[in-house]
Parts: sequence; structure tokens; C-alpha cells
Amino acid sequence: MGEGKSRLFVRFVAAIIGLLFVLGTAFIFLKQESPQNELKLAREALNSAQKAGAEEYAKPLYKEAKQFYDSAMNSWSAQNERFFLRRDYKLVLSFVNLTIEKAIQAEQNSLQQIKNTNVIAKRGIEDLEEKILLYNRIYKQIPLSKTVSKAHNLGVMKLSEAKIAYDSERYNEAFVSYKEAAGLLNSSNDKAEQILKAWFSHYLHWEKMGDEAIRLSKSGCKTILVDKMAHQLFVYQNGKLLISFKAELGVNWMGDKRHKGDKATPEGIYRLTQKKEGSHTKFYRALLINYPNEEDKQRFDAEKKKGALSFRTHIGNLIEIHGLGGKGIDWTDGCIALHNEDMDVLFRLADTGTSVIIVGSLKPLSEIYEKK
Amino acid sequence: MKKKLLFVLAVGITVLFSSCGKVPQEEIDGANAAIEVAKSVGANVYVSEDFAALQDSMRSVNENVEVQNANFFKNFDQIKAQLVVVNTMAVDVKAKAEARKEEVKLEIESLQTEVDSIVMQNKELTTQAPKGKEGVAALEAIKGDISLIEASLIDVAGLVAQDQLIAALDKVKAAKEKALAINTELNDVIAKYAKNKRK
Repeated sequence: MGEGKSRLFVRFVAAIIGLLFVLGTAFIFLKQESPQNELKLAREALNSAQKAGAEEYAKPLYKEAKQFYDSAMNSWSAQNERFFLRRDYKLVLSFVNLTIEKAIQAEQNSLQQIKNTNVIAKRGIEDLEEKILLYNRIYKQIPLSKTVSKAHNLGVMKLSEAKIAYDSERYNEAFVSYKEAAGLLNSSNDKAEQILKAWFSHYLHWEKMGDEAIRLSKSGCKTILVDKMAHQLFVYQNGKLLISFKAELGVNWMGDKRHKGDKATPEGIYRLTQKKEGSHTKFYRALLINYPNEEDKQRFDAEKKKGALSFRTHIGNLIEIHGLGGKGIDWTDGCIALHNEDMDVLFRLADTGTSVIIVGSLKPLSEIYEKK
Repeated sequence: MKKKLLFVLAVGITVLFSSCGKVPQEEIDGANAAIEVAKSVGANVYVSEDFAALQDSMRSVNENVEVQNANFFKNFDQIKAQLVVVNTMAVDVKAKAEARKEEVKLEIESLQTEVDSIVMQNKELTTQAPKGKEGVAALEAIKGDISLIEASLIDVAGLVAQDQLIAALDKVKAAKEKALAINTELNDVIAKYAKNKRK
């Protein structure tokens, strides 16, 4: 090869390299800038939403934001596979903007949702705690079916779970447990309330009976008045209250006694027929009343005739006011049990023939609910 | 001379238009798999903050991969180093999640034993509670309550078997509260009864 040709070739190569250099420099300036900073912002927005609990409390929005971020990444990747002069990051940037927009919304929604759930769960828990107090104050002492007390107890346990989740700031779980507890506790309280309201439909009659007891005592005779709801036995004389005692009743004390073995304490106007002590009673001291009275007998016969009671059912008897009370529960077969010391006092005050008036309640139901 | 120059030119052009490194796909797949393993043991539940940081690190790596893919001269050395860190993090997060789960499991077991013991104690107390008709009335309700706690303990065992440890922990704590309440109630009944009996 001649020297001239060689020189020409070297010049040609140098020119090519020079051209490439110029082209490269021009391309670098022409090349679109990579959207890495924008993607970083989108990721930070996503992180911020995640930290605000959006994954749980603003699920759909957070999911959307995440999908937009993934789309931005996929789009960026797709553009990077193209020839660098043909790359276009507009779509990437639009996905980035959507990611940021949705992430911000998710964060705000999440914080609001946490606030709302927190408030609802807190208020709900407090409300149910009130219902438990009401149950313990009023309904627990009334004879309820096993289903009602079971629902109540399950509700109490569920509410404990709600409180535990709430204290651990797991508001969604607290809310779910609270809802379950609310279902159980509301149903048990509602059923108990229905039972109580139905029984209190006799209140006007009881009120009259209470007035009758006081009227009877105005003649100077002592009169015994029993308030089943209050579990109190009062002794009146000359229209004035002499003394009162805490009383325990039959296991199924609520409602009037209908027949033998129903463990209900009768309601009505009776009188003492016998005073028992020593070997005559196994309940320390006892005052026998004239259950069943004429009214009880008529009602019992009517129920039998209607078929509401079986033909073989017996009306029952031997209803007494006796000792051995003070157990804190209603445990008798229908009698009224007093503490032995109280029984001693009553035994001295009462005589055969003393009127005994037993009523469901001397106070209206509204007053019982209001009681703090 | 001409051949040498042609060779240099060819190499130069190749270097200019092709990448210097390849995407470390194997390492990326490995890191993603490690994150999935951490998630499968419940890292997102038991160590959620650590797991979120791990996910963020992986997203950052993916962004850096694209930054390199956009370059003329690609260099994935730094990314490979980041992937090593992500892998280590994933292993660490998995270990933390397992440790936390173990802690929760132990707490549940300890509470189960405690509740079992209180239930046994309560059953024993029911035998000391007032006998006769007055006892029956009080005890029927309490026995019902005890059976609710026993049923709750069965639920706890079921939740543990389903790996729902947080729900199981809440339930067993609630069962303990109820068992203790019954214990107090029973002791009150017995004390009241004993007091009354002495008179």
C-alpha cells in the first residue's frame, strides 16, 4: 500500500471518529432525561401512604397508587428498550403523577378512616360497656333463658377482644369485634328488656296493691309489703314504714306463680296463716301465707280449662316468708327468704292474720332504668 | 496498519452502541424470592415496618436498574451490591418475623395454660360452692360461663392451627379476663355462703 493511500485511510478513520464524537455529543444533548427523580418522588409518596396505614385503611386507593407506580416502572423499562433517540417518557411521567395523586389521596383517606374507625370503635365500646353495666344492674338478677345469658357472656368476651385490639391500635379489628359484640349484647339486652316490659304491663295493678297495703296498715295493723323487683320486704303500720329487709325469692321469681314447681314467687294479697319455728321448719323461722288464695285458684282453674296448664298440674302451696336468706341469689322454690337476724325481727312484728301483699314492683320501669 | 485501525474502530463502535454490563436478573429474581419468603412467614403482619422498608429498598433497586438501562454505558456493579444488601435485609426480616411469631405463640401457650388452670380452679370452686337448691341456682349460670371459656379455648387452638396468631392472642386474653371474673364471682358466692352459714 502506498504512503499516500495510507495517509488517506488514516484521515478517513479520524474523520469517522470525529463524526461519531460530534454525533455522540449531539445525541447526549438531544436525549430525553431519564425520569428517575420523578419515580423516586412517586415511591416516596407510596411509602408515606403505606406508613399512614393506607394498605389497610384505604385499600382500593393504595392498590390503585401501587398499580400506577408499577405501570410507570413498566413503561420506563419499555422506553429504555427503545433506541435512545426514540425514547419518550411522557407516559411514564403521567403514571408517576397518577401514583402521587392516588398515594396522597390514599394517605389522607387512611388517616381519616383511622380517625373515624377510632372514634366509632371507642364510642361503640363505651356504649356497650354501658349496656353491660345495665345488664349487670337490672337484667342479671331477672330469670332469663340460657340463650339470653349465653349471648350476653359471649358478647362480653367479644367486647374484651375489641378492647384489646383497640388498645393495640388495630382499629379495623377492634371495629369488627365491636360489631360482633354489639350484635350479641344488643340482642341479649333487647330480649331481657322485652321480658321485663311485658311483666311491667301489670304495673298499674301493682301500684294499686301497694296503695292498698298502706291503706290497710292505717287501721293500726302491721302490713307486710313485698317488692319483688327491688327484693325488699317492707313492714307498714299506721300508713308509715316501720322497717324494711332485703329479701331473696324463688329461682323464677319474675311473673306470677302459676303452678306447683314453677319456682315463682306469687303476686297478690295474702295473709299469714301460721308462725313456725324450731322443729316445725327447716328454714330457721317461717311465716306461712295463704297461697293459693281464691283469686289464684280461679286463675289456675281458668288456665287448666283453656289447656294452658296440664290437667295433672297442681297449684302448689306452702309459700312462706322464712330465714336462711342472705345468700345473694334467688334460690327458693317460690318462698321469700330473709336473713336470720331480719327474720327474728319480722317474726316478732308479725302475727297470724297479718296482711302480706306481694307485688312485682312499687316503682315504674322508667324509674328503675333511670336509677344510677 | 489498516487492519489494526479497522479493529480499533470496530471495537469502539461496539463499545459505543452496546452495553457494558447486563441486568443482574438472577440476583434480582433471588432478591424478589427472598422477599416473598419473608412475606410467606408473615413478615408483613408481624414486622410490618421492617417489611415495608424491605419493599422500598427493592423498589429503589428496580429504579436504579432502569437508570442504568437508560444509560449508554451501563454499570450494574452498584446494583449488584444493593441486591446483596436487599437479600441480607430479607433474611433478617424473615428471621425477625419468625422470632416475633414465636414470641406470640409462646405468649398464647402461656395464656392457654393460665386460662386452663383458672378454669380448673373454677371447676374446683364450683364443688365448694353452696350445695342444695340455693347452690344449683347460682352454679347453673356459672357452669354455663365456664363452658363458654372452654369453647373459646378450642377456638384459640383452631386459630393457632390456621396461623392466625394475633386473633388467637386477642381471644385467649379475653378468655382469661372472663375466667378471672368467674373466679371472683365464685369466691364471692362461697364467701357469702360461708358467712351466712356461720350465723
